Amino acid sequence: MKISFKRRSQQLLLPSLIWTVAIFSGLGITGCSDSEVAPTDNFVKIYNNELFDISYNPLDVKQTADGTYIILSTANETDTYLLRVNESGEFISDTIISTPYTNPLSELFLVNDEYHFFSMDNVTLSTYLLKVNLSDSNQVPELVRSFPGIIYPLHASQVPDGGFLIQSYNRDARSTSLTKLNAGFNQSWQSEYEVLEDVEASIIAKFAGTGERTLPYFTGASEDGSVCFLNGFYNFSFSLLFVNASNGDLLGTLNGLREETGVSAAVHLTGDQYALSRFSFEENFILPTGTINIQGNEFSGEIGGNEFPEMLPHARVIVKKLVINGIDAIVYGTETKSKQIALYIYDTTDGSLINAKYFGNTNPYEFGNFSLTDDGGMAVIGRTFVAGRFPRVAFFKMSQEEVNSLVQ
Amino acid sequence: MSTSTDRKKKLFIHFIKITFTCLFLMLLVADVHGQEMNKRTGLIKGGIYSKDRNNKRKFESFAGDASSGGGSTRWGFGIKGGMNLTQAKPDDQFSVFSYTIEPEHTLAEKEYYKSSENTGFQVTFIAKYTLFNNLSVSLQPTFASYKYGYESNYAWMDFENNNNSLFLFFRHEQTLNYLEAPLLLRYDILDAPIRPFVHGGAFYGRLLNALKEVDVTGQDNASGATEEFNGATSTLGMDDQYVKSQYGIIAGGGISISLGPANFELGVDYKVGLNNIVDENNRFTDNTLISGSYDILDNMTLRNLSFSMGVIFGI
Repeated sequence: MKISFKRRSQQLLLPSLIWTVAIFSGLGITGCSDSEVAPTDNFVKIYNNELFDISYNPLDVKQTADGTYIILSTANETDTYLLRVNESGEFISDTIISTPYTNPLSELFLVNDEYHFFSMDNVTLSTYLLKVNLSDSNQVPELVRSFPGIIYPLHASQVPDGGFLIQSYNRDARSTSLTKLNAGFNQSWQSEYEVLEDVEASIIAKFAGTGERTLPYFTGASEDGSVCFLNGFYNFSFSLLFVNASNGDLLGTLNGLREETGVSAAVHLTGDQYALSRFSFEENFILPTGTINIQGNEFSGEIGGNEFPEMLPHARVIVKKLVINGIDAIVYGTETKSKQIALYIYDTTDGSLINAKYFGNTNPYEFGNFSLTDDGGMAVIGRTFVAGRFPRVAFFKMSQEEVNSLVQ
Repeated sequence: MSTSTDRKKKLFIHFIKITFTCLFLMLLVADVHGQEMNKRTGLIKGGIYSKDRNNKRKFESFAGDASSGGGSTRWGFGIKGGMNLTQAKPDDQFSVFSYTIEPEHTLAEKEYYKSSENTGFQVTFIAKYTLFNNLSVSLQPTFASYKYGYESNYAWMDFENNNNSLFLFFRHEQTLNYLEAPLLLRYDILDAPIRPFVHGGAFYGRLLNALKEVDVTGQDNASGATEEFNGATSTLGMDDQYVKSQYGIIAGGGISISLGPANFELGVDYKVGLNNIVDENNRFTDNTLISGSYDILDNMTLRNLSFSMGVIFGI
């Protein structure tokens, strides 16, 4: 019986070995097809150096025609800092632009295939338009135009007709000012909206990077370009104003409560619908499809919205309407109490939350901006505190696959 | 990934296919040959009687002693284990940091530990089949635990006030556990109770799990005094950071000692991994790794030197 068992074992073992070899060879061959991904598809980069006492705070990132990226940032709170990186996120060059071109505004604008940005004169407080010189390896921008009549520039945006809106503060008149430039950077009109009190201290706090928070100054326009809006000081409070795009006449307001309640970001969707976020003291609310009476005089604290307790009090928020994988989406970029950068993606049609994506861990991360890239991916920038203390630019590049998964 | 690397990979896939096909055919031939021989052999307790060329009966041990070959089919089964030393070979290096000013006090690239510092272990089950006289083939399913490590150092200096500085030292130790299936062709050099042997072949491994241990230490001179600190050691799961398969070639040798029904063996093997073990799709997906320890994996292959001792019994 024992011999029979061994004979049987011998009969069975060789076929077993043959099958084992065959199975493993099959596994081996299929396992050879390991994943490959282009280094430009997705990456995370932190632009570091050994300097102990320098800080950077990124404002915007844009991809150029050759696939590289330009990052507009401040250095040491007030200086203008331009950083250029290649398509894999590796550093190419940078420059801290010498005075008087300080306090760059909000974002980079593409005009005639060249990137432009606005900044402030550190002495006269007037406004400059500068052009990024991509052919200059030292990244020194060219001065395009000066705007001596625009003092304390707070925010700039591009409108559907190719022109620009610049929000500023007129300290002599104690009023918020909105200037409309046409596509050739010539002034179309300028309107003033009375604050009725001196808020220069708050304005200076924004430029100096002092104070507990930065107020969410912004400008924008409706889809058809017929209505412009600005978020700034008006009538003793931080309010969202809707104005006639042809002359700047005030249409209506969404009033705040002093500096404690107001709107933190807005983008027009369609008709009287806007995607907004708002703050009320230390709370944040998101209203992805809010109906706003732009000719009314309402209180922003009463427009509702979903409270987001995870958002940092007084968080920086940017909302954009994007087409991702053929789907119209509203994307909010902001920062959380746990010091992560967050993206919330909403469906434009019903305002439902589709997805949320977080960046950063352990060390603090603050939100900067985001934009879609030519490959269907997304560039997200922010500020991180390396080793918990050194403020540096962080760049998250998501692949098209990752971005598409945000709307699924 | 470069074109030459792609070509190398395709060539290796062909090599693997041809190797396994040849071994498969050899086993089939041996099986047919063995069945023929079994008709002429007898089995008794402790061994097999077979007939040599002079038609004399000859005893062969169950230990699968290839030296006593004679053309009969014999199986040997056993177990072996030991330690291994791993050297990671980075092909393309990656870093979370990109430096805007050339660093003077920071290691811009990871510094990999020498293999002597990367000690792991392996346990192997041996199935050996004697093909011809001194030639045998063996499949050796192995649980292998590989370790490799590297360190990254960072510095921040106040060049106007040398008293202000911060140095951080990150030690990263990775443990990769694989289930491997090396298929080896073995040649026993002498017909003697103490026999040296050499073997070679290919291996295929499936990743079971991967772990990383990060240890942070540093020196902070910014607080008015020099403060040495030891951060907490953290352990992270790394399964997603590696591809599931590893394959390569293996060569080695050793010495086999017959003692009764058993063969005791001492051996050394050198494995050369031929594929990038890092999953490039997931390089930037782990927030904790990237943002916490500023670490992402380089593309790499593994080299491994293993020492083992074991025993084989015949059936």
